Amino acid sequence: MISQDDLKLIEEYLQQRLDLKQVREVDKRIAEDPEFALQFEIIRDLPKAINMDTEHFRSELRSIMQQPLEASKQTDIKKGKQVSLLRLFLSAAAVIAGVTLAIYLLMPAKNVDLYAAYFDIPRENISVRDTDLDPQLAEATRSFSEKDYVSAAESFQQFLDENPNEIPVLFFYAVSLMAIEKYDEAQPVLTEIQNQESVYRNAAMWYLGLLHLRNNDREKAKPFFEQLKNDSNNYSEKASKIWLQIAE
Amino acid sequence: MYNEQDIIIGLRGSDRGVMEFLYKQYYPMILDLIQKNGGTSEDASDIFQEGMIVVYEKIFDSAFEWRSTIKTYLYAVCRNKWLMELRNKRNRSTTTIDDKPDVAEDASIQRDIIASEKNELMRKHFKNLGKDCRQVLELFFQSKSLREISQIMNYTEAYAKKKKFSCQQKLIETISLDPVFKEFNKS
Repeated sequence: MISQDDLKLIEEYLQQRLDLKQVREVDKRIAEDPEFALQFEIIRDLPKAINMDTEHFRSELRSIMQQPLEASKQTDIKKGKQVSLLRLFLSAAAVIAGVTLAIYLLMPAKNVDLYAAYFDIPRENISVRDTDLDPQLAEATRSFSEKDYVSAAESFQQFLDENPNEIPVLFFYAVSLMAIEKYDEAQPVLTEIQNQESVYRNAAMWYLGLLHLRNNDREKAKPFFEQLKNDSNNYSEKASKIWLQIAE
Repeated sequence: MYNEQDIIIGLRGSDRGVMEFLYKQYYPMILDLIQKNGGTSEDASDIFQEGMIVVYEKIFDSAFEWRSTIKTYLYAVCRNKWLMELRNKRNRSTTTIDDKPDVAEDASIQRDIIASEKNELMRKHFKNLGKDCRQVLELFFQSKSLREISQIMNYTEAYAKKKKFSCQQKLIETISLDPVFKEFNKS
């Protein structure tokens, strides 16, 4: 079992807080003591392993892979010639829709219209430890999936009273509040998420921007969309489109 | 259609559209590889999922430089992963598989696969800790100071320090005693 001194030594090594002599001693122990080397490796790799949200990634991938890929591909091949006219029609429709969208995008838009056009409810994908064991959270996610956002918000809030640091839950709580138009309550929750490093940070900024548009406060909305459009993230493209309409 | 940069950004955010694109574009290639080399469609599905996890973890590695496309990397990961599975199943070291000759067996790819599997094991043991331990360590891994941890957890700073150490000690112990983890370190 690792001693407190060794743990401290390894942490300070990884944080580059040791002097050269101490660094050499640690290197020597890593080379000569397999147990110490193993402990070193675990301490070094744990933060990355734990901070990475593979659970969400894996569950998304599984749900995608449930789609009948081969069957749909074969059907597409068989129907290839029959659908060519339909494709032509759809292509023409797409061009018309594109032109209409371009005209729409060039027109000055109202803040609330922009909000209505871009606000949508993300799929619930909470991966909190012990989710299965917590009836409050299970109830909240069930309500959220059934689009009962009033019940979802109540249950999320009760869960958060006991577990205030669960960022995924905070995020879906905020979205539930927005869905039931409780914008004043959603704002501090989203701000709290935005102020922490997590995979939900950009999403929180996106919804904060939308929230300010809904409150008809374009100036407050701008910084969120500006930052999102300039960074590489899932919201860059959508943020750029909104930016085109709100930047002066 | 996504370019390489779109795919990397999309995967970082677990973007469903990008993941669907990768599945539709590249899963048939992996299915073909596995089925031609003694595997079933279920094997292919497992290998593809594990391969995607390796790619996902790799894109967060800031030190990693993409020398190939995501497609080539994913293919190489799945190929090496299947080769490792076959060797485990057949318990012999001369296993080869028939596929594109330009994709060589790659020690660095095998290291990436093992690193990903080690990470998965660490997450498994982390989940088995008590709730308070998980919270304290999560905060610590998010670079929160002991003072911040004590405030969030409503502990004294001295207790936060003691708790953090005992949780780390327990976690390191269970991981290092895991026979699968030990096996990884032998290879």
